Amino acid sequence: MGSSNIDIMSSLSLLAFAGLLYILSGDFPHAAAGYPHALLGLLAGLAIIQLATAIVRRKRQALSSKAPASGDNRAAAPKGLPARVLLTGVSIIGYVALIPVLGYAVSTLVFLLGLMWLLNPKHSVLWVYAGVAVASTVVLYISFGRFLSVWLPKGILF
Amino acid sequence: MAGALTWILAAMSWQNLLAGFLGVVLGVIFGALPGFTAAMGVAVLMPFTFGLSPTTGLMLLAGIFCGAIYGGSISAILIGTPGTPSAAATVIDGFEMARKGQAADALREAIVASYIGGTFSAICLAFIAPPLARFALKFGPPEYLLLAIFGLTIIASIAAKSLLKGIIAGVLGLILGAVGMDPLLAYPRWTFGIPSLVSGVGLVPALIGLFSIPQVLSMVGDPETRIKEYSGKVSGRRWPTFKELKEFSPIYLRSSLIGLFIGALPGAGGSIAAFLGYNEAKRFSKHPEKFGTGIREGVAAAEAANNAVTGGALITMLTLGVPGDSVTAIMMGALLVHGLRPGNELFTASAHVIYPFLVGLIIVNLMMLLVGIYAAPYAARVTKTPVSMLAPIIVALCVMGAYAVNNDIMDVWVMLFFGVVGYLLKCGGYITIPIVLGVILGPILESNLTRLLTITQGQNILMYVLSRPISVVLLLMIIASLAWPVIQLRSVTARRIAEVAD
Repeated sequence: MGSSNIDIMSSLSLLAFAGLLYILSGDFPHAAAGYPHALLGLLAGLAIIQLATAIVRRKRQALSSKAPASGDNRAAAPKGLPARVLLTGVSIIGYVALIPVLGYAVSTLVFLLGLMWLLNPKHSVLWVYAGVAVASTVVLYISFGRFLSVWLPKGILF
Repeated sequence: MAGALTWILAAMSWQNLLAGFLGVVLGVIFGALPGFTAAMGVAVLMPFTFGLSPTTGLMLLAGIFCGAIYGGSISAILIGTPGTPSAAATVIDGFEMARKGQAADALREAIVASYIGGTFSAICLAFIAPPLARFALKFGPPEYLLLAIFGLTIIASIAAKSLLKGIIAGVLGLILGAVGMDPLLAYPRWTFGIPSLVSGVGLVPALIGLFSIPQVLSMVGDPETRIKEYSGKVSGRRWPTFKELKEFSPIYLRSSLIGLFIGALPGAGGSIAAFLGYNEAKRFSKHPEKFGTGIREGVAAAEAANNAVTGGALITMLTLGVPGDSVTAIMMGALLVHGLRPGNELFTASAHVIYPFLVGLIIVNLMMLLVGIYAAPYAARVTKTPVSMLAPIIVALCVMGAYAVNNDIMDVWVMLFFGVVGYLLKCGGYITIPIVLGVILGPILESNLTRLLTITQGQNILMYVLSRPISVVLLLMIIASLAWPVIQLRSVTARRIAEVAD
């Protein structure tokens, strides 16, 4: 996706975000609403400027035979392998959702071993991953839970 | 003279040295753990000081304070996640250095700069504490408001490549900083019925999310963004050369002064000092375009400033009994437990306690230097860890760090929210530092704007602000900060035109 399209999409998302927050601030008392409303107005204004700039840039690119344009302010976005990114993202969300159910220790162990395996599924290193996952969980559990007195969430096991 | 020698000898008793050393080691570990701040470290160990002599107890706490502020730079450099909010500015160049395979150099620069900043502020604490404390108390709502605006002008230099996107990210940060109770009516804004959001978005979960999650996702998604392995030897050069120290001395001095002064302002904090120090180093640099690409000057500027905050924060607490931040508030509690009352009396009636402590603060910084210098090459070996192992461990550490702030799983979800926002913005070509600035400075800006409007009811605000000399200076600094990138751009353009003409 070209940077103009990314900018158009992000501008529209920012406008939607500003609009949503404005609606959600409908019941704020006048004195509490002034500052956030000013910021939302500023955000919407800046998003509109970015949108207009991106549309003009895209039109110029369309007119020009060169694609993408040499002066394209391309975003330094991570190129990425979406599947691995998506997998990691879903694993992280699943991990946090599991903590109240399985407890901190078990869910951390499952998450560490699972994600390590998913990122590099080789049988030869599985035992290394298992060792690292167990050691990391034990170190985190003891250092935070015991030494630093953090009240770790407990689950169905412990 | 004899008194000074007595204090030095008292500070160097084996109990005090052991307490200071333990404090430094524990502080560095606390600081390096994302989410575990200096305040939490000091709070955890404060009960242990009750059985110690006042000077020994204070040295233990000072060791944790100084060590944790430095320790935050270790994770900032190695995994791109600041261990403490104070190290947020260190990520900009420190992590880029690590990605270029210069992790040990970045860590060495961080510890040297931290030592210089910390020692400078400790010496200032011993000699100029009372006048600086009185000056800091002259800061009222207009000065804090202008200081926050001055902090936001950093966006202009950090986001020079795409100013519009930088400003948008800054405004987003300010909006997220407005979540929670408003300062006038205490009305909960955008809290969605979640109790932990009533006091606002937690800075630590937000920072962890903004820095670590996008970094982890980039790390697993794109091999090019992986950290380059540190190839140096553990037995390699540990100490900086005299030439390097001389070359960076203006940066150290400038950042130390900024850190000392910001530290003395109640409520300002190390993160603001580090960003201001970084910005000023960039502004005075002959090659500002290299900042953000992984250069030692960037690390030096941020680290000297944030460690200089330690002495500054103690100034107002020890001389006036006004704690500048949560760490000094806890330390003040320790003083009171030992029957010591902050104020002038502390420097007269309790001189036998406080002066050895001030000497001890200098010693603690020296210990921090030794620990940091010898640990840096070993810490840099983290970059040798394969991404398939490193990424899940970073996530587990960040989840724990976000949770440990309030023992609340909601903070972990806040961290994930900021992580997703940070990643999406990164994909869109936005940088996350302006969001951090917005979240940090937003509440200061709004609360002081509200106070200023309340004070000046019916008056001309501009005339009120202009009637205060410190405000005028800050106003001029804001104008200079905004004008400087334009002046710099024009001079670079003129230089290029001249080069082409030649």
